Amino acid sequence: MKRRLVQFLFALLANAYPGLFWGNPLYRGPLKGICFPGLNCYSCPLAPFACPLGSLQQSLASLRALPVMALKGLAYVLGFFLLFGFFLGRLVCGWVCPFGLLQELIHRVPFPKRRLPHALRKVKFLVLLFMVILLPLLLVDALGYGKVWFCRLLCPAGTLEAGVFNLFLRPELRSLVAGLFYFKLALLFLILLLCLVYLRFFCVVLCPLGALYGLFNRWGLFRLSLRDEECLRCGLCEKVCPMELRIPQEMNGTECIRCLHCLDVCPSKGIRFHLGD
Amino acid sequence: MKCWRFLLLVCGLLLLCWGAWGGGFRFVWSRAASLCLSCMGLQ
Repeated sequence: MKRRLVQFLFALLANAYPGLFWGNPLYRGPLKGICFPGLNCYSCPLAPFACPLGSLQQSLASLRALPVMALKGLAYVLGFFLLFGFFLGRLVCGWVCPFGLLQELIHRVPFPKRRLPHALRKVKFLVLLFMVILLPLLLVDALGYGKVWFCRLLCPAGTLEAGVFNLFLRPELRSLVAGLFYFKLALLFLILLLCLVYLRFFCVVLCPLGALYGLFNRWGLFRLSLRDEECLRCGLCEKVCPMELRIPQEMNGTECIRCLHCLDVCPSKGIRFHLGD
Repeated sequence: MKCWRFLLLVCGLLLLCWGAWGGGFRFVWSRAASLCLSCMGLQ
């Protein structure tokens, strides 16, 4: 309940710009230079902050055409990832990300629930490597500019918050709608539909932001641990884990979103969330 | 705190500050403040 409240507050913060009510449907002020840690498209009419994945791709895509500025941009975004990864890791996914909240709310709709094969968890690392890093860096036009491939082909937050919302607010953009938009729209519906069946389908399988933060779970400031002598072997922690992790083996692995459900249900209070080792 | 954790923190801070003050903040701002047609699936 406490987590849900925090999720709603961060979703509100990530979409707090009210400009569309006075005819200004895109915030262009200095807050747009700051990355919001969760997945939230910066072209959303309500967004006051930048998207870290979009900014990372923009920096990589401009490295050849504008090497000095793009390198500084890249350093800024990488510094942001290092700090957020160090302090929070995938706690961002569990407590801050608005798209994570949306997926959890959709999963509450009564519908047959299934478990995802664990092998699919690796797909998001390929998405991170190819669509976020390699393609924007290597596939460039004659002027040396690359494209933001993850945003362009996959990002469901962009389709929903920027695409659908902006097309509703800005009729002049509707003439640009073509096959790519319909492809992204179909993908968005498919992802949301799969979230009915699989909890956080996008987070588990496709999200490169989760993959990036997950790398820090092992090295970050906060860690989960289980005091073996206090464990009753009841298995309640594994039963409530939304990411279907094996506890304690995967507690500080790349998949734990730090929802802390395991702490709440542990009858012996043997699981701790603490600083350092 | 282990030494490499401290290093991670220092590297993050240095990158963020160097990038931001050198024009990275303005670069991100300029990109994020313009409508991204690619994000919308229109380009």
